[in-house]
Amino acid sequence: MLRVTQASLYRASVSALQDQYRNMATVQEQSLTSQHANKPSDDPMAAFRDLLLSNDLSQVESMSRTTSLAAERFKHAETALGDMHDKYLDAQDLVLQLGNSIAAGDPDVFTAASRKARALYDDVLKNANSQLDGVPLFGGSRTNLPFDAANLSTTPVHSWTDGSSDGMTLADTTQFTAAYDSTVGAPSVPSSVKVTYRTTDDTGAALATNVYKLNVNGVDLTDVEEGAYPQTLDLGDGMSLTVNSAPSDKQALFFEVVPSYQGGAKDREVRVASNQKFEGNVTGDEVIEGAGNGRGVNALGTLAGLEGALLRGDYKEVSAWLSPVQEARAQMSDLQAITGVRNVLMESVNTTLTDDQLILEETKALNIEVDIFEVMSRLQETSQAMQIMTVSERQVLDTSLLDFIR
Amino acid sequence: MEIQGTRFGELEFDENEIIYLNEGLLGFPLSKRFLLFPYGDDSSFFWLQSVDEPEIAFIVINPFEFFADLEFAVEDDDAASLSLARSEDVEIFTLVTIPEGRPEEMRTNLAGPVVVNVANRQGKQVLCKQYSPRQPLIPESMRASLRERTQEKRSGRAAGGR
Repeated sequence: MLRVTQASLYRASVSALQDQYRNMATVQEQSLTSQHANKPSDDPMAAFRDLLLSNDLSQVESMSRTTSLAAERFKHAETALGDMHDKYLDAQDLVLQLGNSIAAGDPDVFTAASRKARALYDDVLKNANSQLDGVPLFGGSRTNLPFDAANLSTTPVHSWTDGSSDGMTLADTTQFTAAYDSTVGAPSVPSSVKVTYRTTDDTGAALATNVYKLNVNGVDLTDVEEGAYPQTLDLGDGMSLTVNSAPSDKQALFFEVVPSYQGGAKDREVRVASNQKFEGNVTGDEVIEGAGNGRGVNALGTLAGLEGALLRGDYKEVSAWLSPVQEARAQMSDLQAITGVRNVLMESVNTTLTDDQLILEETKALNIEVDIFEVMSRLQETSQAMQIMTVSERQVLDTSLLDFIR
Repeated sequence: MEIQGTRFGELEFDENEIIYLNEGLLGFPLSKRFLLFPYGDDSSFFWLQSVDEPEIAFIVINPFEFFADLEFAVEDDDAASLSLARSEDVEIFTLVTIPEGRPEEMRTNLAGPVVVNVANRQGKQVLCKQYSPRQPLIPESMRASLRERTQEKRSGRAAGGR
């Protein structure tokens, strides 16, 4: 038995069977003076080719426009994320400058620094609300809801031992719950809340009654005596902290009230082939709240917390924000890397589609003899190229994310 | 030599260009001599024009250009009848069917490939049961959109009174 496969063939096509004495032009020339019929049934290839080219051209035009817009959005998003990343570098500088005893006792320095922190917060908020052609860059499911005071939420509660040189840690969520009730009042935005539990005074002597010391944006509120648990502490303007069991002496609890993400979970996927889609832009949920590809950091809350620490003029508290600020910076860096890779991928696909579009347009305009195999092959190559690029994207992302695990 | 084809008019050819399918093609036993020429420059489609019955011409393809991992088994008897000893001397093509008015349903008969010994230009249609006699050439996803366009064109012609 003889087995015939593509690999076993001496020549790649049946053209070896026919001598190259004539070409199609000769045949067509002959057909013009003969009984050559022009009905689609008599020349089905021509009819099919026209159908195929028209169909492919409209598809490629559509995908080319889509990928062009997506690439443009990625480019703007990458710029905005880079800018946000730089703001967290500035915030880190603030922590390093004010998180030591050099400026202690000089409230004006801390007040000025708090204004810088607020400016950084405003810049990040502005970038988070960036739009392109009226569509938010970081709006999952193309939400048009901006990050603003109309949609507030509390950040996760952080814990720190007041006066220590330790850093911030996430508090036990079963023990502490922050809440904001928008029906009660409107706090200043952002708000930074600090609640400190005291069983001793500054000299170490036991207090007659254990108390919670409350501070909002650098302003001390009236102390609240310890009561039965769970105890809800009213911080005004709809803000509250519920404590289910007693904290440790000098344990300070922080939360912020900041604009929350209101959009869908994901941006629209971008159709780049008849049966293939690429992920869209990173979402506000990822950028601002650290979901998905983020690092779980509430980016606005971090700057709000730093501003609060500066308003309170406590250099140790300022120093405690170093780790969250660095995590926020790394979150922006991760998302910038992801966006950069997606942008390169999308631009590559867009270039391919643009080339295809030009060829198809030319083919239709000039009525060049081209058959379905040629067109299908091009689409197949495009699809394969995109698959390869998708693999590359994963490899590049793995590398870029590894850069931060040191 | 020359023939008067219904599709291409008068065709001149040399005798050494003829492909001999001595057992004919399924359904066309009288056509034993054929000419093969490309549908267009660098096209993957070819015309298989009958010399014996000029009104008959088929569109054929090299199936390997359209489908990956094909493997046709040529039985020893078939190989012997074509004096075929080496796979290097084989070329295979399959007949394409394009339903009238439904070009998107273009298909090819992989179950009945035509095997040709290029050394002596002898060929025959063999049976390969593992493949479909009606293998679509166009992916289903593309067929649907082409079908819509076809219907649109028909509607347009009807609306135009043609």
